[in-house]
Amino acid sequence: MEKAKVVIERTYNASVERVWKALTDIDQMKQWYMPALTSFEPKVGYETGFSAGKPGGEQWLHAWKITEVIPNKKISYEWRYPDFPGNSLVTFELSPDGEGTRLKLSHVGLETFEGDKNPGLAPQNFENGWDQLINILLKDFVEKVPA
Amino acid sequence: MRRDVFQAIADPTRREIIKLIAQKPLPLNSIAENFEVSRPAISKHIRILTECGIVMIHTRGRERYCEAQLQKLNEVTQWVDYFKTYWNQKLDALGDFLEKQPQKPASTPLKKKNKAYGKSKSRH
Repeated sequence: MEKAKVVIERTYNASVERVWKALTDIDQMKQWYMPALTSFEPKVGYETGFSAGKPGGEQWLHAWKITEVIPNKKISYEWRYPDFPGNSLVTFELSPDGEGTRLKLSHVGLETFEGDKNPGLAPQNFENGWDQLINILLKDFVEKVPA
Repeated sequence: MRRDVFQAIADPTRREIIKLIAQKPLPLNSIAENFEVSRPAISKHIRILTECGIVMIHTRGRERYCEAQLQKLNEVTQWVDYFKTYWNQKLDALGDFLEKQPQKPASTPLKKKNKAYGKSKSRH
């Protein structure tokens, strides 16, 4: 059964090739995505690590490992925090949509990040009431989880 | 069988049970009254919820009270919430980035790419 995940789809007014380049070319990735990136190559097995966090906030060690590359179609990499338990998988999938490009992002395996031990949550300080938690957040992601 | 928070919330009846007892612990009997399904079915759902660590049962007198343990649920939804926000921001930024990039003149996005890779096996 699928676990905690985020799935987002967008359509961009740009060719598949341009979107692919933005997702895989380190110079472009640094501009819109991950400024802290120090190295990146879209090759299966490639590993990279860097520290990132909110500007002015605490920085966390990130490790990525590329698991799948289909040029102009799909790239997947593991995303974990080496100092903490858990490992997740990020996938970008592209398909032509008229003159533009449909992008589907999925980030799965979020349940493996143990909430109380992990960095992403600490600066967040969530204050959601149970009612909101259950009715909105839970519903929102449960509906995307095949039972 | 693996029991975790996702199994707990995969079923709509179990989600309703969690909602019911999220505010305050309730006796098993009064939980069952809220549902049309049989009491044994509700008991089974509650057993699964206890095995997933989402519900704890206390015995008070002759009643068995079910209390929600929402810490686990909270941890997971926080991660989902955190990354949902993160990725929406990033994908917005990607859109802005692509807009600002100079468009290639008269590109032909519908190039045919009918390479038949993987189809023919070499016979040697």
